[in-house]
Amino acid sequence: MKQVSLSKYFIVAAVLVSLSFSPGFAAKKKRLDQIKFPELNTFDLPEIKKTQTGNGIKLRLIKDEKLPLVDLKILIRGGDAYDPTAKAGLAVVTAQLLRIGGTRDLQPDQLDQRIDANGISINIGSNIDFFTISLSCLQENFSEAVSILSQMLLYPAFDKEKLEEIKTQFNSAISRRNDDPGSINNREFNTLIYGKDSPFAAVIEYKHIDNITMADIVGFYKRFFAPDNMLTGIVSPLEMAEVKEVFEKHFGSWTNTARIPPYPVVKQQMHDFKVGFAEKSNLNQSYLSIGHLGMQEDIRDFKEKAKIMVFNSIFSAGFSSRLMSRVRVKMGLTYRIGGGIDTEILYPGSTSFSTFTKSESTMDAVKAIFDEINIIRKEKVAEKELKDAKDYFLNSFVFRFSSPEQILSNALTSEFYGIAEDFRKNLVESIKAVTAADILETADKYLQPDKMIVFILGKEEDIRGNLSDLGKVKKIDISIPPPAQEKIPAPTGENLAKGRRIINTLIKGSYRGYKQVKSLEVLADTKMTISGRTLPVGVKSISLYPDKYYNEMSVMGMKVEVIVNGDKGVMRQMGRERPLPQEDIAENRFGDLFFILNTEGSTEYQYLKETEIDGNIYEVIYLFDAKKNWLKLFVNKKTGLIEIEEKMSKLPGISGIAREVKSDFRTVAGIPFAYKSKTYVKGKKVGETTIKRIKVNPPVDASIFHLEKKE
Amino acid sequence: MKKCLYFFVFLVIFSLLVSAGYDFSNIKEKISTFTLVNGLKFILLEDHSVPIVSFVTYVNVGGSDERIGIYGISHFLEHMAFKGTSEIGTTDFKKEKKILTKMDAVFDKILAERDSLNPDEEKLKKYNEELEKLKEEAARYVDPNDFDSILKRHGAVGINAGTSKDATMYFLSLPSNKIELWAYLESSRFTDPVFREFFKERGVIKEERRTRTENNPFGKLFEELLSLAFKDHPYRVNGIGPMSNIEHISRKDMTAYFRANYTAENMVIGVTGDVYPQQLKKLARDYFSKIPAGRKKPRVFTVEPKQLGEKTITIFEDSQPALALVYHCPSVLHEDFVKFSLLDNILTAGRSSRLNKKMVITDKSALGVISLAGIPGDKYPGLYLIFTLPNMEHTNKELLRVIDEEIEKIQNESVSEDELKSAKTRIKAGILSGMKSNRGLLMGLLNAEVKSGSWEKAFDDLNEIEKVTTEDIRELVKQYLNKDNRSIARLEKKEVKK
Repeated sequence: MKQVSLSKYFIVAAVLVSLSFSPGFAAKKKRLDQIKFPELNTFDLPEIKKTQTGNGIKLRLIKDEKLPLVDLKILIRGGDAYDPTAKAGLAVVTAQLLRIGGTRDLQPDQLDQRIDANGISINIGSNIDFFTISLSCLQENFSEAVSILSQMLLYPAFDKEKLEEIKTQFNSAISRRNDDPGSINNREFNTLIYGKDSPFAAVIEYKHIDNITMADIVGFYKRFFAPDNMLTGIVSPLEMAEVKEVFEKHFGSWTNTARIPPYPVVKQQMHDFKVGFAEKSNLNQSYLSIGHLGMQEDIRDFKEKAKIMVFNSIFSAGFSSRLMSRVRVKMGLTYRIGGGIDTEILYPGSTSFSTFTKSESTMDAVKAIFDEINIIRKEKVAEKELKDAKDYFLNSFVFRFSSPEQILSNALTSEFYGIAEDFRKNLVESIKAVTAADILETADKYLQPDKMIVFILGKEEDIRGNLSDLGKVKKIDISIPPPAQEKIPAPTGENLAKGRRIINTLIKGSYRGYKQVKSLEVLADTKMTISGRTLPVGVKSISLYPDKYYNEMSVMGMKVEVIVNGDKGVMRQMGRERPLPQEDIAENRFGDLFFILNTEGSTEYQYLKETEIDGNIYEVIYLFDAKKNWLKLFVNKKTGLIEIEEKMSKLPGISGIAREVKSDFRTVAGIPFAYKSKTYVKGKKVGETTIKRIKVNPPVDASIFHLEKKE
Repeated sequence: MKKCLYFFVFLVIFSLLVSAGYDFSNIKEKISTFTLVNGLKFILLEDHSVPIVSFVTYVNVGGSDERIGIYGISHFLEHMAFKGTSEIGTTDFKKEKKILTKMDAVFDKILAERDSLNPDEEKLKKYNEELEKLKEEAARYVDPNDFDSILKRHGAVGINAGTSKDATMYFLSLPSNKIELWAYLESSRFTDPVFREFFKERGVIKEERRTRTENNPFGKLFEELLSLAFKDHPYRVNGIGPMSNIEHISRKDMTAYFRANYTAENMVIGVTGDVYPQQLKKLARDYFSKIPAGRKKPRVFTVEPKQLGEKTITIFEDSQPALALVYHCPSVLHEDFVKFSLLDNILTAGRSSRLNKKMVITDKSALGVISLAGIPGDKYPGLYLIFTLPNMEHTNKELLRVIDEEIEKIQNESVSEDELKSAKTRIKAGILSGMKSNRGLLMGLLNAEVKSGSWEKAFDDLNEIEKVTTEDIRELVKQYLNKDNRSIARLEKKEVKK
């Protein structure tokens, strides 16, 4: 309340003042060039203390007593660059599994709870050149936090279920990767520059995730996660001696040694086109990138780095840059534009520029960017422009030291890449030395418009002008390759013969009773799990071989009938009827053991392998229909029973291979039937069936197969 | 959206510090304030460890203060605040001004024609050509980006601004020997602004709207969700404004809006870093006294009536599904507001939080789930949001059912003591980390000053959070997280015709 009356008072006062005294109050108006700036206060850089544990963990510490908190960051050489081509994503999956996969003594759940309840934060991630671990906690929990981290790294449990969780998340992210136009632009441009299988393009596909096995993860972990490969930075109120003691205690027994493979080589991509265009017709803007592979200069040489930094600042980085001035401010064509010459250390980065603009003005934006590229390659920059850019770096240099975390983080990166410690002085001197001629030379050396590729994502019909004005255009397909299909080995005379031989053994052996089958009636209870919800389904099916089939399902009090008669069929549901597609009819027949174990039919058999599951040895055989749909049978070598079947799931919303595991075999009329079966997709149970009754050759009322609607 | 976190984070920091026995007097000691005669208040948080200073100009005006026809003007104005003054950004202001006046006249004609019942396309075309010509002419006197260039060559970093439904903020940091440069530029852009390059900047803003909302499925979803959840309150309009309004705003509208709102009484300036109070006071007096006092902005008096029943919208897009639920929640001034952060923690923060554990870990049905109170603002009663993305082969429908079940559980059985304790600990740790940044702290002070009337408020009733019981959480969920108080926006994948 006081506050209110006070403000009222101020209003009155302010009005009075502004009426009578205002001119006297305001200082004489200075012009900008009249302001004199004092020298910048000097300041002490905090000392970085260095030591290492007995087994080689490098510790770097800045003591900071501002708050009772510890911040820890570890760099571990390794990361995405080392991903095998067919297993892109292995590094990041490994990192995540270390974090959530549990430890020798802690179940994944317990681990999460221990971390959360203590207010600890631990993240393990993967960058292109290294894994990173970051940890923060209250000072009082430091030992506990390091203890938890050491258990994750020394005794990871690599929980299978958690790997599934990670894979599910990755697949989900892959499925969403075309929802954000900005990231499509980055991804597709990088793919053009580095090639689709390069770790530097980093496109993770379903098949890559699918390929990653637990053995891959364990191998990757052992190769990189080792004490001699850990560069650790700590900001905390603790002394180095205390920190070291905690590390010795929890990590001291670790003896693994890292084995770093050679760093991958980037292959220059050759394209016979200038423009890559991808259509996304729901956009009203184009997202575009222009550029080429960079040069691999050693920018640990500060002179080169300084030239690039000043060039980028003048040309493309920040609000005052030429590209921003031209395309955003003067033309009003975009909200954001940026890019520049990359200064990567271990691999050639790219020289690239990107922006977005409304579809109509796509060509205007592209041309403006090329125009600016040509200008900066031809004409020296004005001395004022150069001085402004250099002054920016020199005057803002102090911000590189604005917090202990930042100082330490920069120091870690420098140490990791072997950048000289006195870089501060070196870089400042090098920036001061950059000339307008250097900028021209840098532009000429690093920007080669003839070699530049243009990637555009947008709606072609709304783009004003012709893309082909820029050069040859190639349409790029950005659709997401579907999850990996079954990899079926090529048929050979040998595997085909063996497949047939095994099936013949079944026909003549354990399943010989099928020869006498004319009709079959099955009554069963099924539980289906779709979208997290389990539904009981009652099923009654009657087959009158070879070509009549009736199936009645009751779901939640609703009746669904499927009737097949010859090559026609219908589905009836709540008084509505729709014809069954031919392929559904064919597929239903293809999956019926009667046809496999009775008639020779059009089925092809191909032997795959012998495999052991839960202590049983199975012979695995593929069956193919005329359309190359496949069905895999697992025949128990000992019992001669088909105990497992696999096929592609056709259930709505459940894609992947469905595995049906059968049990409780009972013999009816000389035929073994599995009275229980469970179906799994990607390890998750989606269905469970219990048979209540089977009748072989029951009398069948043929009228149930009438396709005309009953009155 | 970030902004509402600051205040909350700040509240909690101190309560936890108190409860944890930390002495925060050393923080308070570093804070000083003063108010100029015109009513402009300054809050300073000193830190002399590194010779740098960060500045925040907090203007108590945002999207909520707009009226139909000029929706989006607060944000547009924020863009124009970087265009300079009669001295900065121009090569010859006298000549430039004449052209600007001509342009206004032409734009008036364009608007009159465009708004008429039967616009004459021929005339419009002619006027537009006239305007284009004048734009070219005006450009001759413009020194583009001068404001930014001056700051940058003096070493400024973090030059930025943001507009929310509640406020408009301007940020920058400079080496501490350049404080006077800031005083000069910041005061002159708010006493002598020139809205130059206005018609070009409109194009930039339209591109911004396209990229943030029209070409971003989540952006689209949120715009729809706000207009669904609010019937009367101006929170119903997306801050950037509808395209039709962006296209209609004139320099005249902007001048009027600027004069009414950018006054000393509606602004607070926060400074943190290597500055001493006397030094700041002198510069403030010299440079900022000329900002007119103005009138303290009244509250938006429109009150959102009680919602009568659940509302739903489904939009179909060529993108993967998403689900957003919002419940009306009180403003930051209400005692229940802080409880929502505990609920947030219990529901969605960390792997052991309820929804994360159920949906992400156990069912593997969601890619992620987050929640947040104070959407799209917290100055007025806003919304509590739960946002989630179904994994492949899972549906919005399924996730909605699971969330409902989890909410029901809390309504029936409340949460456990351990969960609540863990939530409090996590908030404590997270907040302590957040405190490391002086700017984060400063934002908390500014928000408290503007929304609660005093920056010190942040220090007062802070024990509230420690006092929250499991029963309070149950009551909170019962009171707010019920279906009549809820709106749902679903994003569903549009099946593309083949």
